[in-house]
Amino acid sequence: MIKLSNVSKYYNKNICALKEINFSIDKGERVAIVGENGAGKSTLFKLLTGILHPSIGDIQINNVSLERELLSLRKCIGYLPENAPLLLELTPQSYLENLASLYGIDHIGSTEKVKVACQLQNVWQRKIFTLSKGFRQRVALAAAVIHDPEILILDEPTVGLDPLQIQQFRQMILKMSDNKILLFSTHVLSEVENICDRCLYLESGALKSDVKIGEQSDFWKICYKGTWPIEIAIVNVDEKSLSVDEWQVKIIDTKYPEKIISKICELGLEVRSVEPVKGNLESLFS
Amino acid sequence: MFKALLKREFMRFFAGSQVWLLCIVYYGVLATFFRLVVSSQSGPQPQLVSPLQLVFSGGYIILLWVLFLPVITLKSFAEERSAGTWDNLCCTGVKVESILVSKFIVAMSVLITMLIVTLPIPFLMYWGCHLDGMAIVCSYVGVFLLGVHCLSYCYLIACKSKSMISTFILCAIGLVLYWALPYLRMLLNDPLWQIVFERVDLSRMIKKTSQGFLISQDIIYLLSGTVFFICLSYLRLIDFGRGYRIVSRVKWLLVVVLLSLSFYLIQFISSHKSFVTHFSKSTDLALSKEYLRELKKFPENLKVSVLLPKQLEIETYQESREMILKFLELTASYVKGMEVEIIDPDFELLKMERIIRKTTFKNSQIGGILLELNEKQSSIAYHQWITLETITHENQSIRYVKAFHGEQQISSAVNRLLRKNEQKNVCVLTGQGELNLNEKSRLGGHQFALAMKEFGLNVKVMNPLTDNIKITDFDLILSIDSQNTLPEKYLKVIKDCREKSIPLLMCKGILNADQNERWEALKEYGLVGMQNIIYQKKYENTDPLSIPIRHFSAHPIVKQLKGLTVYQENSMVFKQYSPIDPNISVLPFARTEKSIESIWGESSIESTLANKEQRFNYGDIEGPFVSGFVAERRESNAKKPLLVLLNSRAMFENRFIKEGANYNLIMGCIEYLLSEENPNVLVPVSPHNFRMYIHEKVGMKFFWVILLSPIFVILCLIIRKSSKFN
Repeated sequence: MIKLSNVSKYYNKNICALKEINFSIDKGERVAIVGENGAGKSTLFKLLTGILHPSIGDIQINNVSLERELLSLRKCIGYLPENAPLLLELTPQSYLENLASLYGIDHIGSTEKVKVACQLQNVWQRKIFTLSKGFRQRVALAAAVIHDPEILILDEPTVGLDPLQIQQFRQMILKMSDNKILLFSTHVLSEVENICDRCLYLESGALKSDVKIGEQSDFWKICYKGTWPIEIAIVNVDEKSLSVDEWQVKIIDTKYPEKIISKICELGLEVRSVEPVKGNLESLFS
Repeated sequence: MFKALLKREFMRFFAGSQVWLLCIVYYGVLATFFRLVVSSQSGPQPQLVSPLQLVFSGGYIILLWVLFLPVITLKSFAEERSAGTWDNLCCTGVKVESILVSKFIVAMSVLITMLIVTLPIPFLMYWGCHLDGMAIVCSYVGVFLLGVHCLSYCYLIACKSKSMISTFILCAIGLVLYWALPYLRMLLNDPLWQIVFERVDLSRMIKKTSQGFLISQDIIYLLSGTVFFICLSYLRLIDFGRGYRIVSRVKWLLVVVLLSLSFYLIQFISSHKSFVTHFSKSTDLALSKEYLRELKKFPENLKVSVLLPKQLEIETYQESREMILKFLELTASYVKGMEVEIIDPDFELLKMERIIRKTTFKNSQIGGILLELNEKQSSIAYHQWITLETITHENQSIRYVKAFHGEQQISSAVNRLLRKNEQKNVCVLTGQGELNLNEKSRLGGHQFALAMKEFGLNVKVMNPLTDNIKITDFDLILSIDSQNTLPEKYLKVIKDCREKSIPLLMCKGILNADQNERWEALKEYGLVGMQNIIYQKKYENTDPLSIPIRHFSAHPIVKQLKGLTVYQENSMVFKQYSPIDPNISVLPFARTEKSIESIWGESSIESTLANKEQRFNYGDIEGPFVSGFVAERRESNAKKPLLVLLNSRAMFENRFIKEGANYNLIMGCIEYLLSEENPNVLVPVSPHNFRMYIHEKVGMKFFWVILLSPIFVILCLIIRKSSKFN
C-alpha cells in the first residue's frame, strides 16, 4: 500500500513542484496520474521511488516510512522513468543480468522470465543503441519488472511508440501488473481508461481530482458572468475562468440544476449557457 | 551487489568506444611527446636530462588532467544524470557510497589503462638508455596518485552536475585553480599558510614525480586528500534531492572538521621522522639500485667530507643543494656509522646557512665524494654523477693546478710533469692574441704562467713575435689559445719544436674558437688533436705530451708516477679506450650504449683513422664511445692510489659571482679534504650510463610504430561498428 500524507516538494525553497498531496493506493490498484506538462507527475514518481525526498510530509509504503527504510523499500518498487534511460552500449542481456545482480536476485532465471514476457528474444544479443524505440521501451520495462516488484511505476511509458507498439505495450503492462500496484502517467486518456481503475489528476502540483474509472459522475456545466456566489454552497463545484469576466462551474451530483440557476439569477449573475455533460475522463480537463 | 555495481561501471566505461578513443588520443599525444624526447636526446651530445622528466613533466601532465580527468568525471556522473540512468541505478536500492566508490574505482582503472598504454615509451627508453626501472615505477605511481587525487577533486566539483559541458568546464577551471592555489603564498606570509601552500603545490609534486621521486609527505597528502574529496563528494551526493534539510548544515560542519583533521594528520605524519625515512628509503634511493649496491661496499664508521662544487644559477641553486643534502642524508642512513661532512664553497658568498651543515671531524677518516649535478636537475644524470667520483689520497700533499675552463687539460698534463719531481722549464708562448688585440688571450699566458709557478715550474712567458726563443732551453713549449692563422715567427717556433723533438703542447681554448675553426687549425698545422689539446703529430710515439690522452699513462714518465690520476674529459668522445700499461686500469664513466648505428661524429671527435683529415659527419662512427674515464694505476706493492680530481669548469663558473672569486674557496675545500691524515680509501665506483641513446632514425621508427598502432585500432573499431550496423 502506498500512502502520501500532506506531501509537498519545493525546489530551491520557493518553487513548489507538489503541494500537499494526499492519497493512498491499495494493493492491486492500477492508478493513472494525469495532468498537464509540468503538473508534477514525474516529481511525484521520483518522490515515490525515493530519488527525491519530500520537503514536507511523509510517504509510506506498506505502512513503513519511505525515508526511513529507503533502501529496502526501493527493492519493492519497479520504476520506468520517462524516455526509458538505458545503458546503450550494452546488450539487453548484459544490461538486465547486471541489473538482476544489483537487486541480488537470480539473474539467469529472472532475465529469462522478462525476456519472454517483454518479447525481447530477437534482440537479446544486440547492442541497445541499435534497437528501435519500441524495443528500447520493452527493455526498460523489463528492467523495471525484473525483480518482480510489488509496485510498478511507469512514467509515460508509451510516448513515442506507434499504435501497434502501444497496443502491445499496453498488453504487457496489464499482464505484468497483475496483483501489483500500478502507477503510471500518461497524456492518453484512452490508455487510462483501458488500463487503470483509478485516475489522479494533478494540476500545478496540486491534486485536483481522484476518480475511479467508469464511475465519473455526470455534471452540469454552467457558464456565467461574475463571481460565484458564496451563498450557493455546493460541495462538488469546480470553478474555472474562461475569459476575463466569464466563468464556468461544474456542478456534480445534481440531477436538476434549475434551483441553482434560479439562485444565480436572483443574485444578479448573468448565466450564458447551461449544458449537461456525460461523466468521463476527458471531462476532467474540460 | 558491489561486484555487480563494479561490473556495471566497467561495462559503461569500457563497452563503449569513448574510453578507447580517449586512450588512443592520449597515446597519440604521448607519441608526439616521445618524438620530441627522442629528437632532443639523440643528438651528438647526450643530453643530461632525464627522458622521464620530459615525458612526465610540464604540459604533458597538464594536458592529461585538464582534458582527460574532466572527461572521466563527466562520464561518471553527468552522463548518467543527463541520460537518466542514475535514477535507474538509485532505484535498485544500492547505497550511494557503494555507487560512488565503484565509480571511483572504475575511473581509477581508466587512469591505469591510460597509463598502461603509455608503457611502450619507457620500455623503449629503457632499451635505449639504461633507465632505472624503479625510477620509472616511481614516476608512474606518482602520476597515478596525482591523477587519482585530481580525479577525486573533480568528483567533488562535478558529482551533482547534470550537464556534460558544464561538468567539463567546472572541472577544468577547478583544476587550474587548484594548480594556481600555491601562488597565494605570495599574498599570505603567515608561516602556517606557507606550509599549507607548499603541501598543496601540485606543480612541485609533478616536478618531483617526473624526476622519479616519490616523497612520503606527498604520498600521504595525495592519499588523504583523495579520501577527503571523496568523503565530501559523498556528502554532496546523499544531500542530493533532499532540499534544504539538516544534512546541509551537518555537511558543512563535517567539511570543516575533516579539513582540519586531514591537515593536522598530514602535519603529524610528516613530522614523524622514522615513518618518513622509511618511505624515503623505498622511494628516493630506489632510483639508483646501482648506488645501493655500491653502498654495501662502503666500510662502517666512514667519515666523508663532501664538496659541493656546482654553482648553479641562483634560481635553481637552493633546490639542487637540498637535493644533494637529502641524498647524502639517505646515503648516511644506509651505511652504518657513516658521517657526512658537507663543504659548500658558496657558503661564504651566498650565505645559504639554511642548507649548509658544516661540522669538523676530529681524528676521523676522511674521504670525499665529488658531486655534480647537471643543469637540468635530472635525477638520472644526478645519480650518474653521484656515483662516479670518490676522492682519496695518500700521505702526500697534492697540489692542484689552477685550471680555467678548457685549460684544465693543461693542468692535467703539467701535473704529470710535476710528479716526476724534476724541475721543468716551460715556455709559454704568447703574443698571438696581439694580432686581434684580444686582451683575454694576451693576458692568458701570463696568468697561466703565474699559476704554474706556484707549483714549482720554471715558466717563462715569451712572445715569438718579439722575443728570440731558444727552444732547446725548455722541456716543454706551451701554446695557449692558438689562433687559426699564426704569424710566420710563431709558426717557426712550432716547426723548430717539431725538428728538435721538443714537446709542444698546443692548447685551444673552448671559448675562443668554434668547432670549425679548431678543425681548420688542425688541418693547417698538420696536427692531430682532440677537442681541446693539440699534440704535434711528430711526437706521437715518443713524447708523452704528443700521445693522445688515452695513451698518455703508458709513457715512461707517467709510469714513474705514484698513484692515481683522474681525468675527466667529459667534453670529449673517444672511440675506444685501451690502456697500454697493464698496471693502469681504467674505469670509463660515461660510456654510450653499443648500437649498430652511431650517433657520434662531427668535428668534436678525435681522428684516429688513417685519414686524419677526414671530417666526421653525423653517424659516421659506430659506438660505443667513452666520453670520460677514470685512470687508476695499480701496482702490486703500491699503496692506496692517489687520486687527483678534478674537473669541472662549472666549479669556476658562476655569473653571479665575480669571476674567480670563489676559486680560492673551492681550493680551500679541496686542500681541506686532502690534508686529513689516514684517509679512508674508497675505490672509485664503476659508474653507469643513463644517458639516452636512441638514434634519430630509430627514434622515428618507434614514433611511427607508436603513432600508427592507435590509428590501426581506430580503423578496427570503425570496421567493427559498421559491421554491427549492417
